[in-house]
Amino acid sequence: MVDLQGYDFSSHLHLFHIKGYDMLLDVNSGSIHVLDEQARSFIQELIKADGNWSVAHKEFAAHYDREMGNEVQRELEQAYHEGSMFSLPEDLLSFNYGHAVPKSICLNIAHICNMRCRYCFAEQGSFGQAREIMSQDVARRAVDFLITASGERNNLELDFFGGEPLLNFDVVKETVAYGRERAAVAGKRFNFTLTTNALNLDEEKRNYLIDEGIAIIMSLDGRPEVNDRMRIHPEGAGTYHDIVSRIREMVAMQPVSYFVRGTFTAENLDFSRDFLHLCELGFENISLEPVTGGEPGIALEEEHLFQIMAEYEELAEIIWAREQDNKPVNFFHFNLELNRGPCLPKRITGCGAGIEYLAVTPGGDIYPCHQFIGQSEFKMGNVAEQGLDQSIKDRFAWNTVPHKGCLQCWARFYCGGGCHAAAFFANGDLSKPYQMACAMHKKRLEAAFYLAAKRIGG
Amino acid sequence: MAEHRLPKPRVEGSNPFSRSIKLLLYYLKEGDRMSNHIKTIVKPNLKSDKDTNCRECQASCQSACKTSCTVGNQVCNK
Ligand code: SF4
Ligand code: SF4
Repeated sequence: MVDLQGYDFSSHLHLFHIKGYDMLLDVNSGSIHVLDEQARSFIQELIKADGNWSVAHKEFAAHYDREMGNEVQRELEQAYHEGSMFSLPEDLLSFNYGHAVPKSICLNIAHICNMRCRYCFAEQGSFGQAREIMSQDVARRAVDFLITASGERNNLELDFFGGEPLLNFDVVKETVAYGRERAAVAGKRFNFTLTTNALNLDEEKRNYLIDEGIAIIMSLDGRPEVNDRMRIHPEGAGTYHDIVSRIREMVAMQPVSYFVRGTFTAENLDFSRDFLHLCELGFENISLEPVTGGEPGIALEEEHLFQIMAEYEELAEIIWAREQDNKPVNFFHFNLELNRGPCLPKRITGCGAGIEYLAVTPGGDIYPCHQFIGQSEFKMGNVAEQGLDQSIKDRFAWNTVPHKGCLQCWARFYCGGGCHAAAFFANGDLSKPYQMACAMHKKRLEAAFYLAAKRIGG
Repeated sequence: MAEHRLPKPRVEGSNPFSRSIKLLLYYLKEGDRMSNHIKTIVKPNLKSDKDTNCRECQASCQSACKTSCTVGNQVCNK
């Protein structure tokens, strides 16, 4: 009999019910199981009994056949021997960033914007800083910085971000050419992405992005009235009709990779309708993200969580129905890599901000990530010099799952300890995860597990 | 992965007779499910051997998401 006395069930197992399924995540192995009623009930008794099998059997037998309990136990023990049940944690403190080096930058190529989105964390593109665009010189230095700083790493990433990057399109083109040239000499490879509001995504730019194989992320919030309440022109009119045709034209050209990305706020808590709208427009790669911060009325509050949870379930249902209908759609946040996901060290170190991932302002200043731009205590350096502020690096390198009080949370290997920036802006402390984000993340995981169960079992 | 079997039906109620009938019907319909209370849909996959931590995979915020840390979505490059 497997000895479970002292096993920390609440940290190592996650038992949950979603839409008619009883499911169990074995946290440390990443295994996921679908349970029938007897298995669910037996496991509940086992947890209540602190791993004492005889007590669990006794309680179970009050409702079910004793033999049924034996069957469940046999299966649990078999799964245990396969490594997919009651697994134990590894020594997470022994994992760290290892030899991690910067390999990915968010290049804020323009701190100006041609929209005035009401929820913009970049304060209409400027991040509270001067409205400027990046010069070719700074962009080149950023590329050089990354090539040198990335040492042995071969796969480099560069995202053109802003503000609105298409407002500095010549520098985008120059930087791509320069990056490719420098990477070839260094034996490395650049993956370019560009995040745009699509307002200036005209034919010339679309052709360019296709020819260069640049992955593209285009913002659109969903239904016209929802988009137009938030994503507006400087003079206040909505942008939906200007951008939707451009995005559709771009998608029709089949970019190497694309996402249509929307934001939901307290004003569209029924965001599954927006998701549906984006599906109906023919988009197959969609991301809808909770707004970060925002003025009262827009910001997400705890009282909204109940509805948000229900909407995520609804989203899973829509996705499932479309799959049945042979019209699959890829929702970024349910798109878990369940079998070929990252290794444990990567999972516990999280997003890599400040270590592997950096953001660069038009003036060349370096911050741990796009969300920290303009926070002077987080300025790490400038692309004109090699080297980064060691004490800031250390703060981020330390801020991993085992150091953040996340060791009891079942979601710890999927969220990587959560967003540093959300923790900092919500709680004034990098290491205090923002609980709203945690709750939403957990729900998205459950929905993704549920979809996995549906796909396998129908 | 083993062939999928449906979880057994919820057999509610305290009447053992009706419970056994329902289960019997279920077994008749679904075949022998006596050893199938737990269906594993994802096998163990969290790895940390010496070949890991190479850091060649994508940074999580470098994709469609710029607001939440979604390491679980990344694909291992190895
Ligand atoms: S950040 Fe939140 S969701 Fe992630 S492991 Fe920590 S507590 Fe859990
Ligand atoms: S701190 Fe947050 S926003 Fe910044 S890179 Fe990490 S997950 Fe993304």
